[in-house]
Amino acid sequence: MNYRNRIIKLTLIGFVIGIIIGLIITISIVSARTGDGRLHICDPSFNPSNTGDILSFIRQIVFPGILGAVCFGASIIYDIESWGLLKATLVHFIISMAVYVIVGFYLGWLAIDRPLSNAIQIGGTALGFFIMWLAIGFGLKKDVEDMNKDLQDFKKGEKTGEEE
Amino acid sequence: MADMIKINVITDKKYTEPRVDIYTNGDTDLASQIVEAVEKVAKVKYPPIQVLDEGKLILISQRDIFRIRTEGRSLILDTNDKSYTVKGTIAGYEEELDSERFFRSSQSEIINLYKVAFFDFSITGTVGVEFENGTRSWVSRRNIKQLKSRLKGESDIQKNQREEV
Repeated sequence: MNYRNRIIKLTLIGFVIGIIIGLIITISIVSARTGDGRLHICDPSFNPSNTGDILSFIRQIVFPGILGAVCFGASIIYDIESWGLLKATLVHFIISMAVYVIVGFYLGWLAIDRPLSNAIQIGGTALGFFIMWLAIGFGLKKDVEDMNKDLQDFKKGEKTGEEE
Repeated sequence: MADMIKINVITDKKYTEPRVDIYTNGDTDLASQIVEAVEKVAKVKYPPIQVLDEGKLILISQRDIFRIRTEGRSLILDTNDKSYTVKGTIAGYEEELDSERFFRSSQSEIINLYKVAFFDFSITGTVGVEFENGTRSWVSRRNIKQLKSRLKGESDIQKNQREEV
């Protein structure tokens, strides 16, 4: 599959996953915040242009979808062969966080007057990327150790002359 | 006749394998065609690679190739002593070269696994390759799984063969 098709596929998958996760988070957080024992699918305080609830609901699922699309689509960065894992992870993190901050402030996940909550969200995301980098890195390190062990046996089997 | 090729056949028991020497005034195209014809007759499975070195056609055994890589728009063939610019494409060489010996390590490189000294891993997350002559390259993360399988599969075969003996 070429890069263009891969980006399209990743973006679409990310959009759907973003919508699902956004919906789950919105329903659970807003319902918990409201505390009336009912499930709320839309944050009542989120009505920036005084539009109806349906439009607010759509915004609250589309924007997480956009966030998911960007995060997943940007993961194509890991396919850039000349980039080390650290560089690819950093760039992916920066792109994802930039979009997260924009969407987060728009949807009310982040707010200027909630520095602790902001720090937890951003720090949590950074931690997630760090753990992912560590996990992939340790996996590759183990792979290299295995390859070096197998390389010695592999080289003992070099054909002598039959190919020429 | 200008297009005649003079052929001398020398019979001598000291030549346990047939040997072909090509004398030419520099017509490398004709020399190249003769080489291909001889290889075809000899049914050489993995023929040597033809390269032009300062106008002279030379044949490089696949065993002596460390790697073939792209450099800008050029294709470079590295041996222990020298690097040569060759024609063709990486994909074309991937088909031509001994698939048991060579591995496509990235979009821009094919490496000779028998010339690899070791692999290493850097903190930046790059899987490096050091060859026996000290030169370095790297393996794309996408190809690690395939490389592992190749090394594992071949090493298992070697181990079994040794145990049988």
